[in-house]
Amino acid sequence: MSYAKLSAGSGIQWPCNEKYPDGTPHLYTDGVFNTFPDYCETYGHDLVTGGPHTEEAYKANDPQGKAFLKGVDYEVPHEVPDDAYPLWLTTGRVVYHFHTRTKTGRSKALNAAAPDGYVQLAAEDAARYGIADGDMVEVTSRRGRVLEPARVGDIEPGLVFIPFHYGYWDHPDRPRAANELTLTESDAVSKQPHFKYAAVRIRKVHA
Amino acid sequence: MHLGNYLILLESSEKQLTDAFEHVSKKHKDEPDIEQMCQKLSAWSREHRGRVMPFVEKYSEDKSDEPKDLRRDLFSEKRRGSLALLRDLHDLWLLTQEVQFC
Repeated sequence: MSYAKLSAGSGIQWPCNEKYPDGTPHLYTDGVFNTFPDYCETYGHDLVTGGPHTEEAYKANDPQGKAFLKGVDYEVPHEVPDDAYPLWLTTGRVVYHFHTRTKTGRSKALNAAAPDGYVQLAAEDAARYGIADGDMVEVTSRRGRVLEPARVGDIEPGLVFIPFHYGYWDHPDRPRAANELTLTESDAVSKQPHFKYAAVRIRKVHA
Repeated sequence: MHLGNYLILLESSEKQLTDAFEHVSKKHKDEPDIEQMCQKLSAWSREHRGRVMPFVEKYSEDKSDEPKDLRRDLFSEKRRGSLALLRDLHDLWLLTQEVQFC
């Protein structure tokens, strides 16, 4: 390992040592994985409940350096659109901001590029609800509500999108925290929160 | 023959567990991960009970008066908040042990 090597190409892949002086593009080429019961870091979890597997159960099915591939039955989403909440909501990022903008929101250039939250909806849905670009829209789920200006287009019908960067710290007057609408749940094992889908309804408000 | 008694004990403990998971699911739905996981486990218990039912019907004629209905004084309504969730999960664990024993 040297600075010359580090800056020569696009980086060096770990591990880089006497045995692999140019780094290691492929791990486990010998087909032996770190799954031995006395060496592995975890015995794994039940993918449905997140319950940890015991040492005893793991040893009873000792992979001896092979890997496990686990399958799990499909589960329907925990919430789907219905008559009361007919649209899908998904949340996400805009390129100018990071998370709740505690840093990026204080940068003049970034803030000017993306100053406020919005709800993006398809032209078909906008027409159905009588909403024009820039109209204030109330988005409600079973858990909360936000008020966002409409941005029409570039999204499929039946789906609305709200960036999750915006909240209260620099705008205490308008509810606009997208994750107040999302499910209070996470994946049982990875703990990844179910932020990417929820059922919502929308209506134009005169604000 | 105590087979009928034991099958009824199993059936009723699964029923209690089904209802208890439902109850905790609703009561603590604002707590992360509680609502859906309790719904899922409630469904499992309901299914288990369904599988036991044919045997309960077949053998329940053997039923005697013992053991009596296992009424439990769990899930106090007075409890609220996160500590209540912990205590309710404790009670759920007790009921799962009942099913496990059966």
